[in-house]
Amino acid sequence: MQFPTLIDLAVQVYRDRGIDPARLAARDAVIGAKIGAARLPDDRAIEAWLAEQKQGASSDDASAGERASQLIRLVHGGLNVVGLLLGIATMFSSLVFSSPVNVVSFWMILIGSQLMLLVLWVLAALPSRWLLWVPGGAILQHAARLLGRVPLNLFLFLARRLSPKFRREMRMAADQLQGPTQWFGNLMRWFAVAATQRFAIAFNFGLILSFVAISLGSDPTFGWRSTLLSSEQMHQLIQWLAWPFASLWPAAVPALDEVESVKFSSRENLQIVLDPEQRIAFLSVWSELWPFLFASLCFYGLLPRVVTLTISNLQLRRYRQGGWKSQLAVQSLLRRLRRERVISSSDVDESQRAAHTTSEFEIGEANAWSACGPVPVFQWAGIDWSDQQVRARLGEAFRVDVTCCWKVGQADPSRDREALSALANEPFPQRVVLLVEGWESPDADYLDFVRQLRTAVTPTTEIVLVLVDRAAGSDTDALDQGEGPRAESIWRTFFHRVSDPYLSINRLVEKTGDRAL
Amino acid sequence: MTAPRFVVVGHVNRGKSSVVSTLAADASIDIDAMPGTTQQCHGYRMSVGEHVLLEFVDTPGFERPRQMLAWMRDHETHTAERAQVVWAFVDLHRAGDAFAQECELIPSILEGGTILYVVDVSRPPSIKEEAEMEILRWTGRPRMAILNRIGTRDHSAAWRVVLDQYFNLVRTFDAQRADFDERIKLLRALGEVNESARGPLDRAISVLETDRCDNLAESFTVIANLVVEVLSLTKQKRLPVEVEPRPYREPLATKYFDRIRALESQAQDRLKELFGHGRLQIEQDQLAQVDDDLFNLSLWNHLGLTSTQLIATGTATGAAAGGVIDLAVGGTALGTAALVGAAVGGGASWYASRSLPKVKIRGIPLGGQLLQIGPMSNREFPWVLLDRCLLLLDFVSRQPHALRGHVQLGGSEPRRLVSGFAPSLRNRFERVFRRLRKGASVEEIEWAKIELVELLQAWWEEQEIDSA
Repeated sequence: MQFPTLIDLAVQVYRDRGIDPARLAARDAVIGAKIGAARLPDDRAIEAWLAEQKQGASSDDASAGERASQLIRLVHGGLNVVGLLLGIATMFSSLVFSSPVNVVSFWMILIGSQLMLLVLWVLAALPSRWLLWVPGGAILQHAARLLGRVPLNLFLFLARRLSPKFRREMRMAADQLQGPTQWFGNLMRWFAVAATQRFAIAFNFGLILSFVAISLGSDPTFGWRSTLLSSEQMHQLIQWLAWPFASLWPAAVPALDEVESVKFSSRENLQIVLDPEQRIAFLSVWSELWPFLFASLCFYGLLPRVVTLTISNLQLRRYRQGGWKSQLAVQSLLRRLRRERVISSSDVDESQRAAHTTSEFEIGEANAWSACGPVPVFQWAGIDWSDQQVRARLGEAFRVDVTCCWKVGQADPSRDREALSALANEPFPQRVVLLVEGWESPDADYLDFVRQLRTAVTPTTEIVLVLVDRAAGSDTDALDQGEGPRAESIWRTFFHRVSDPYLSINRLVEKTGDRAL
Repeated sequence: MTAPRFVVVGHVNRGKSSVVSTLAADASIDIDAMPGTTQQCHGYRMSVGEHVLLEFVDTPGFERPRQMLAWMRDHETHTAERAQVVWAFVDLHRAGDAFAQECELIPSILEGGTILYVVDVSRPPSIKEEAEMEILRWTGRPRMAILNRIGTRDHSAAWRVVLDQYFNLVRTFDAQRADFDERIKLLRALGEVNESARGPLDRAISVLETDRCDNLAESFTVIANLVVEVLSLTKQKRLPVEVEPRPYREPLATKYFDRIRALESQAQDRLKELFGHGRLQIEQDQLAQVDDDLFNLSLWNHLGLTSTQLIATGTATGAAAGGVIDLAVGGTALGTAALVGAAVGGGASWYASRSLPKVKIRGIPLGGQLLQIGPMSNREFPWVLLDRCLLLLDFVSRQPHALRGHVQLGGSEPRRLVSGFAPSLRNRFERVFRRLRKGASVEEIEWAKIELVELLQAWWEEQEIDSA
């Protein structure tokens, strides 16, 4: 994953922290389906998701990642220019001398110091656990890593000078990226290390360029002087130093007599030779060390930096690719994008889809039976009592006599009409009883019958709907504990819509047994 | 591939809407004990993106089936043309009110739906229902009967005798109690009734199972986030040196505990939403502990780990920490560090489970005082918090969507889930809690979240295997 994408991801994940999870899930399910996240690898899915987010935001402004990337390019450009100029300036200041340049100090300052920095770089880059048992190693490593933070701080300093929005976004990104284990620390360290190596390459490039340029323009001469080293020792040292490039460029390794002839570089008036031929001979002797120095600059200055920059970039790439996946927030995001979320929907108007709680019914008192003459009885299918049973049970329960009994609610609906016609042949009763199974639910069929019954009797005839609850064993308890009264209240509520003041509902509990179909 | 369509029919008040609600996992469907709640057909779809997996049609109940069947018999011409007679009935009566419900529900069946005929086995079969079954047979559509039970009585045997005559398949499905596995079983059975729906049904079942796993994974993330956030929560207040800190202690503590309550409440809402129970009010006895106040210490006897388990876990983690020191000194301490660690861990667990964190006053480098409460020092608290979340998750992940209002789970004994964890799993949880108690860094917090998700996942899988 590219650095700008990483920053954009961090900013977006940070922003999402405050959003309702259900909304996030819905949003990402839509985006996930649109970009086909299930088929994309992780990084591509994230990139596509970020692109969708940006499109959705309908803002032409560059994203935080893009702006950070621009800033990084700016910092890199600055480091390149500064490094190059510094390299040129250093070389000019090193070579502009009237006497031959002392190779020992030249090498020590321009190349040796860089080698020391290189050692520090290696220290900073090594895993901490490798240095645990090296005395002072951990402190050195810590110091080296602190040095490496300079470019990063420069970057953050510049970022703070930009717009408040960008500053805020960078803070979000930093907050978010700091989460997962050592990953962010590693990423930042290699980011900083890569920047320093970029600077070092530019610096070495400046050194080499100006070294060649000065050599072309004015003939620099090189010698050496040392109170500690003899010519042989110096030659030996040069041979060791030239070992990496000796096979590639043999001319870059000076012979012993050449080394000996350029000793005492500080001798006065070395270059004041009036005879041109002598002067040319003199210059050719004193410039014998030029190839060695040039090769040293290339092999000890530039080449290691190219290697370290390559390693830094490879490490950066490694951390950019995998580490972000270890964040729980990113894992959740990928899951949201890819999951086939099952959504329940309906064609019911949304405004009607309110939570509907079960109705609570008021269970009223059963109607009292006033004394009256004999009553005709209709028994709905399911009761299936004989006339004698009807008489006995109604008499026992309600102390009422039965004149006649008809079966209604049978499979053939025409039987209902026949029963009602038969009622017309009877003297007008004060009360009519309709026996119904107590466990049945009231429906339009019962309602129709009651309406037809009303037309068959006088408007003031009392119609009593008796719910017959039959139960055996433990069913009796269930009936007594609420099922029966509850059913009765449902029937009462249902028949309330008839608005018939002479319609009443009653219960008859028969604790004998279930009927057979 | 078109989505299979199942038309749920039956007499009024037999639990058709409950069956649809549970099968379609939709808690917004109107369910009422009053007959005639459903007046029109409504399609309830389960989809993934644009793709509809299944559709269930909730229908109004038959109101006048005897009359309808009588009309159809009067107009029957040939056995092969019975479906046309049913159509003719609908065409003729569509404009009137007499058979409004029948004319509303029949077209859904005739237009290619598979019939799911719902009966309530707490009532015996009636003549009206026999008429309905005959009408459904006339439609010629594949059909299955569902034995639903609303009341306490059971007439299943009587029903089976009747239903076997009319239906290709008869299954028991209690819409008020069916869990996810039972839903899936019923969906598989539907594939046996309608051969052409088997492919789409298999795909739908696979998607539903994946969706459930994803929901569980998301729930574990929610719980892990909550536990980590609560355990690492601190509240601070800076005061100048000369200010008396006492009046600020209680408001700061209140703010701290309120924040924990709010975090828990948010997480609980999210868990409910994930399983489609966003509107659920948990008031039943069984889960009263979940709704009770989190800081009622007397409740903790019923939640979290038992005292013995808590001390054992503390002892184990202490011994492990001491063991590291023993190893570092090459065993020369002869296990003394492990012993001391175990004693300290066990003692600390016992002691630290007695009280909640208090506001402490600290100095700050440039003068002034810092009042701070948190992170949570009570050893028992994370277990209680975890138990409450898991109880809720266990409940909402299994509850059918037809259940509304006051829910009774059965049994009056308080349940705790974490006490059933294997000791090794418990110790791993305790290690995470211990790190968080110490005041974890940003990196450690992220680690703790991921670790907790993995542990919860492991626990759930273990539980599923056990129950299987």
